[in-house]
Amino acid sequence: MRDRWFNRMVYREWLANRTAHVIVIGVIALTFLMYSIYGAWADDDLTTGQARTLNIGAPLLVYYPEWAVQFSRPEFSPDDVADAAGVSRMRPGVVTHLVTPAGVADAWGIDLQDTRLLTTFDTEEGFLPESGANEVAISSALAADGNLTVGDEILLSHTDTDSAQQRSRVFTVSGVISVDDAWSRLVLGGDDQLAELAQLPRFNAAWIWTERTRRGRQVMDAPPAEVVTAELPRVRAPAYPYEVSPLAEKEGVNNPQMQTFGGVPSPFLNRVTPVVWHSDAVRDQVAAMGRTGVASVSGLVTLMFLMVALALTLTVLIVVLDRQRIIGTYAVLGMSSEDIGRMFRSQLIIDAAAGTVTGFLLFVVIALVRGLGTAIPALTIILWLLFQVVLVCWGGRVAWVLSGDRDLRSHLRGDSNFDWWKLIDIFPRPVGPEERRSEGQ
Amino acid sequence: MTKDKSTDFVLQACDVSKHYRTTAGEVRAVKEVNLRIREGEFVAIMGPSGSGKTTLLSMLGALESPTEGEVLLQGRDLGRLRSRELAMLRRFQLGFIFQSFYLVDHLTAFENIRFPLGFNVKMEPGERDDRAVRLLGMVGLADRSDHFPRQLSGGEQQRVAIARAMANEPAVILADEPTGNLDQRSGNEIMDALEDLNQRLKQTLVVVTHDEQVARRARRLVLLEDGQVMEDRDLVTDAADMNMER
Repeated sequence: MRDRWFNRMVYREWLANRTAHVIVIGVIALTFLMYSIYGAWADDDLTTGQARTLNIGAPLLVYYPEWAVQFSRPEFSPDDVADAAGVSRMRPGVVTHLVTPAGVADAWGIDLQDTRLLTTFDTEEGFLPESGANEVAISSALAADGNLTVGDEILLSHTDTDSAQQRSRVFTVSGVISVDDAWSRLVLGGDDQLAELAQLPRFNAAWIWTERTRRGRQVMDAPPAEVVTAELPRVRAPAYPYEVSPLAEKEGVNNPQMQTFGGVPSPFLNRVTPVVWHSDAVRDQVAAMGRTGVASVSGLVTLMFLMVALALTLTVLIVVLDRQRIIGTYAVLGMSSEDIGRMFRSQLIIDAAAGTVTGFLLFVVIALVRGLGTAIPALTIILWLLFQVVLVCWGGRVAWVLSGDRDLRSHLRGDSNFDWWKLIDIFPRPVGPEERRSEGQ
Repeated sequence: MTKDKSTDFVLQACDVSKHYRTTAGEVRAVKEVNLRIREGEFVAIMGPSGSGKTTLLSMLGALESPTEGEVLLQGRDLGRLRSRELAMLRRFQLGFIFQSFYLVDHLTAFENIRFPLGFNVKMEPGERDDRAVRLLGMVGLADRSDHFPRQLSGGEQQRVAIARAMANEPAVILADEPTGNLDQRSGNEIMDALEDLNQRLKQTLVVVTHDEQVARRARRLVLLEDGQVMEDRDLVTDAADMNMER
């Protein structure tokens, strides 16, 4: 059956089962929409460093900004994350937090009221750690009042109200902190280093996205003046003793069972490990992604797509199995298993093509409305096409296996025993006449 | 019974048995049945419900395989054929008529008849259309060609099924209770049509029925009971003998 008549039969059969096919097309379209957006977003972030597509690219992530920050801001090193978790790692000359939006601090679990970050120098009420790093950051107000600058050494005293003992320690000023309503800025290293950073070629705009998310998608075209538009150099912090803040302790950061990253406990427990890449080469960035949080989140997203793929595969299986009687009728009329398999493959090609085109149009419309790029990376398209081929072949194989059953009477009654094993037995051994006969029993 | 590979017999069942495994145990639906059908014969297989007549017909039409024994169509053992060869056989050598018609719901009467003709590569597409139209006329449904099965009466649907079974001029037409779902008038019309096929075109017909009136239309009657052939008689000879006696 190789003529136009066959094509017509495919079309008529498709129409007869159109409700199921429309559902399949819809699921394929939505899956492609999500997949293409995800692909465009990942590609965009990876190659251009811009997170413009992020706020439609990862609807799931909108409510998990810490993931988004992890994704989009390589500048936040493990040290930053360690600091974010309340681990004090202040090092002279090492910039950790450059500019931290309040939203990000919140998302990261940074307690802006953490005594050691902000009020250490309030000697009347402050908390003086007995161990740990000997560097501290001071507030900009205190720096101005005391005429202090980075590198100065200060003696801090504190009277323990429980024991009535006075404790004193000498600290080196390693940073100056300024905080306003929306932003906290902790510059370890002081104004000189900030000015040095300003000379660097590029800084990212992760905070813009966070700000959009937090403020109901308000678009901010330009960053606030204090944001330094420079890319931070990757600075590997030396292994350094640290202590765990009460906040981190409360959250179990110092749990020895917890994963660590570069010797530093992950503040996000086992959810996401920090993203670290600072190389100019995209290849290096990808390699870094493989090791870090992007891989974790990609794994989650991949799992999500696998689940959708499984749902689609089962839908196709049901669509084909639902046609058992008609498949039996076709077989009685002389259609071979190959022809029946081809008929269902052809129908699924229609579904896959229609679903993909619909999904693509939806993607373009959404991207244009939101003023986003419409480029879908080649890898996304290749993987998608592969999935569609697998889906189409799967449907054809189910129909082939179904019609290959020699007991056509059961087909006509609609109660055929489906040979599941044959679905995966793609290299069947040659069957002799006796075995063939016993197959029919 | 020895099998005869000559083409004297268009269809043969040699010691054919069919067993089913059910939760209640093994059911022996057909037990060592032997049957030889010559070309142009009109055979009725009759028996009470559960006697195995539909199972026997299904095995004769390669819709299911016998547990034991062999079925030969024009000398070819159906059990030794590959599924593609069986498909070819169903296209060109066998025609089926079912009690439930089994028309393709989303195809019109014309398209249902045209469907099996689609396999016939020896014919041009135009010829196939012409033949489908001729067959529709033959069963008296020329004016119903664009109707879908749901728009046709039971009798009309069965006539479409007959035309469809005839499409590729098969060696044998197997009919399973062709009048079972029809009223008496429609049933008579269908049997008239089948009888006409047999007499005019010498079409070999095997009809399964539990209706004595239907069975009496045949030239040969095979009586099945409890999966076994109880009686196999030539109704034409019987009728002649009865006339002689009178």
